[in-house]
Amino acid sequence: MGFYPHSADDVRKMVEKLRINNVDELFSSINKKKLNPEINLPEPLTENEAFEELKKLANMNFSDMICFTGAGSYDHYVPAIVDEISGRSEFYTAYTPYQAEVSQGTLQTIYEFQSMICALTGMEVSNASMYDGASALAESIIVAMNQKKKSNIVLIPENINPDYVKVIYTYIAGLDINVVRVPINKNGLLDINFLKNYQNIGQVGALVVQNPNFFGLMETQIDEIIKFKQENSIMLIGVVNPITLPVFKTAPDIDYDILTGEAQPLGMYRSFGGPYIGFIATKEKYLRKLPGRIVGMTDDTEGNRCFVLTLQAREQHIRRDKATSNICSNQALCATRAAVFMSVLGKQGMKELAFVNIQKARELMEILLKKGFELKYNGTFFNEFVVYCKNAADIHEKLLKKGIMLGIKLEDSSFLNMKDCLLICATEKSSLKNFEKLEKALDEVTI
Amino acid sequence: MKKLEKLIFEKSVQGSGTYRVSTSNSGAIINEIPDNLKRQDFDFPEVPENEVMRHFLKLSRLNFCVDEGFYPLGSCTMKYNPKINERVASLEGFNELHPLVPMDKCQGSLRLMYELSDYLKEILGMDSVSLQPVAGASGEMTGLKIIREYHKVKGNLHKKIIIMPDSAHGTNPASAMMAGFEVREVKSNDRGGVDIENLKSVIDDNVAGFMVTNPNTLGLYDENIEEIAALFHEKDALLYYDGANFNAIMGKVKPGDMGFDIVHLNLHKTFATPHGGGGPGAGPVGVKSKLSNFLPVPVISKKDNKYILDYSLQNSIGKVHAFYGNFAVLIKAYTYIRMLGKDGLRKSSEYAVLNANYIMERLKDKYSVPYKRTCMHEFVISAKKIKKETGISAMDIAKALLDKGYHAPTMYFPLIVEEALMIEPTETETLTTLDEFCQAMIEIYNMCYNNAEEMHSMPKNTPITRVDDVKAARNPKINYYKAKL
Ligand SMILES: Cc1ncc(COP(=O)(O)O)c(C=O)c1O
Repeated sequence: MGFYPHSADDVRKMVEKLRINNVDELFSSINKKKLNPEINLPEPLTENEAFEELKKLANMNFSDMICFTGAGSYDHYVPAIVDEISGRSEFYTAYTPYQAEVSQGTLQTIYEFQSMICALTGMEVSNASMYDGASALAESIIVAMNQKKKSNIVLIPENINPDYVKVIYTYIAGLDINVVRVPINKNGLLDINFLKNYQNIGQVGALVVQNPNFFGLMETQIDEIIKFKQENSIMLIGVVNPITLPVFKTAPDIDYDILTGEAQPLGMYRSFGGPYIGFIATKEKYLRKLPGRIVGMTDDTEGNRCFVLTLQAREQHIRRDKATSNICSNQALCATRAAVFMSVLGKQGMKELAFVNIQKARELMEILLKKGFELKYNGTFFNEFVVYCKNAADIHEKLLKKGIMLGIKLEDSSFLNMKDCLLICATEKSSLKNFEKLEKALDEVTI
Repeated sequence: MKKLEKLIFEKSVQGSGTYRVSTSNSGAIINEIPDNLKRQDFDFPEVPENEVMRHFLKLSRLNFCVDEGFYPLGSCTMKYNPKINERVASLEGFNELHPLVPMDKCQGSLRLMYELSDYLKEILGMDSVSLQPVAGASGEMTGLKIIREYHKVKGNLHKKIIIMPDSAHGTNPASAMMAGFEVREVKSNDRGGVDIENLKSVIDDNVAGFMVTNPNTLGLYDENIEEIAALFHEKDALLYYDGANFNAIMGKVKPGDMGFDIVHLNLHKTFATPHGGGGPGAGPVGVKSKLSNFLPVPVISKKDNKYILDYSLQNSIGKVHAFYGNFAVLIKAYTYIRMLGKDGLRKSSEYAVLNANYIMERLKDKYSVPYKRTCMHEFVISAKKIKKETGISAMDIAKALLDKGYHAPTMYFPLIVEEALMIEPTETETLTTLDEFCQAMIEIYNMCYNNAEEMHSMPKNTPITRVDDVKAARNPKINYYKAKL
């Protein structure tokens, strides 16, 4: 089944108009020997058959497992209104809003997204979105290092999402940027003494702090970090989970130069890893250094307030090889979803979301401590934490057989060789019933 | 007065939000958080759910979309997005799946990705595919990092130049810059293709690769592509194919057969996944076997009849996305390919090319077509002559189209055509739609000569009139709360 509506009569008329004998004449620039090659694809399907095939594939996944796993992808409830609005053709079947006169829906929505990201992060300006949290961080580092042309070192602690670090290495390959890893202390936080004693400080352009970090811990040494960055005139890049921000301190109390992160928790399904949405917020003085689209407010010729893609002199279609980034299409529909999510939860809902996540994670921690796990790090955590137990891998395996995924094994991560440690997550969706199932299952597997 | 919508912030009334995440008194937990970590207060909208619904519904009505009408935006392939794609992508088995579940718990997703990679290999004439890049530009950066790594492994660190035509899309030079390359341009000839003589003069041993779109950004197929490929391969430079224009040649010719080593596709163009107002897209990258080992990890492999996330590629450039790319977009492209099959894909391209040539034929007496030859799925006209004679620019013509209920063509691109308008109808439009569009274009042409005054003030029937871009950029207002300060 295809989507080309031409009747035989239409084709005849068109071919006649073009004074050709058949459609293949239009392809005469192509080497005859290469034209119409063999392609091995399955037989075509009707819509109905395709639906059945896809259901079959979807059913091969174990999406109904009880899943206490975060690590960059979070199981939050998506309000129905988010699907309702992002499912409107007007939003999802439009292109990038190049023609402002017929794109005010997308443009105003993105403006509202930018404003809410600024409100949450405490920063002055935000762009319209990035591909995901990892690429947003990688591009933030490039922005920061371009501000510090004489430096070529970015400091990246060991408690940063290891997949993000891999993406950073790919992005900076070929550029004059070197990564130096900052060790972590016994509390899972970055080692301040390493920073203070770092020899090559003159070469350092930026420091990245993930807060909460990959282990779920809030950074408590913020005052010392700020002092370090200000004394040495280093760009401070924060990586945050946006749903923590109604509760935890952020800019301008923390002197971040760039705040970036993954906004998947704001209305994106986990969807096996994507589409998600990165954001970058910064101080106004770096506005013109940002990558990607930015929507600004202006007027039309009749004086109506309206919105338009702006500051395009930064972008690839104008500046080409001098642009701030190559990004063109971003994740606009995800930004739309996030805008609806934040609007409907509103101030109170966003606070409650943060509270419930903290609460649920503590309840889950209590259960695990009761069952013989130990906390790997003491500290304030949001909705994730690391537990330790000497046969953790074995327990993890056995629970899987019972339909429960108790976090991820940190020894599996190629950067963090943390044997017998599990990174656990709870959210507002972690129900009492699932906690009870976990307790029962733990009793069965640990005996 | 136009029917515009207030900002969500202007609808906010303290205490009027209705949405509850928790019915218990969860706030007590705040006492357990150390004071020095706590945030004080923050600004945020408070709007009841029904008003939020009305707000975004009204906003949606200010958008034009391809489900509403013809969207001939060149280089963007705004074809119909089959609705079944949305339905299958929202199946719980897909969208409620965590990306880090063990491999035996995600065999459905992995199989879909494995098969999609196989289909794309067939369609492209490539040996391996990565589905990880999430847009065209993301695919470009991936491909260029592969080129860089390839030369590095061979010890050819002097290969620092990427050549591309002067008609290249902006992402091409920007991606080259992000991969640490320098860009060298090659001129286009009078047929719109690469000028071979000029190419010979710019090609040397420092060239790492060549990046091109074929059909190119003029909508023209470069018949010398195999000769060009040979020139680069002689210097051990790799050929990169920007697949933004792949809708012209699905099933007609494979980039692999033209001599390309690396290809990206825009699934959000050619393979009918919706563009979402600016993403999410997907930009899978295919490579010839000598480059398979350089792809981002993981790729999807098959072992003992199980599908696996395979991290074992020796020279991998690493990762370009935290997980495996925009999976939900991949589902839609997979479904599209399964429904069309090889004949459906081939016919789609044939009709896309037929539609474009038909419009060009009907308009060519009015609007000048700078390259007089058969076009592929799109073509470029120039309003240079009209502008000289009437003062009406490509922009004015585009805006007049908006008033007639069409989206505008791509304007002022490629840069080598003055007053360019690039028209891409796609295969999913009926002859009636094409005829009506041509009629509208002819009426606009007549207006340029009869009523130029009117042309400058269009559009009038759209939610807003032309916008003040200069004001937007001079005094940027991009954050409501900052504007309030
Ligand atoms: C020729 C060409 N190359 C690359 C791109 C970039 O694709 P994307 O927006 O998916 O990054 C485009 C998109 O407009 C294009 O037309």
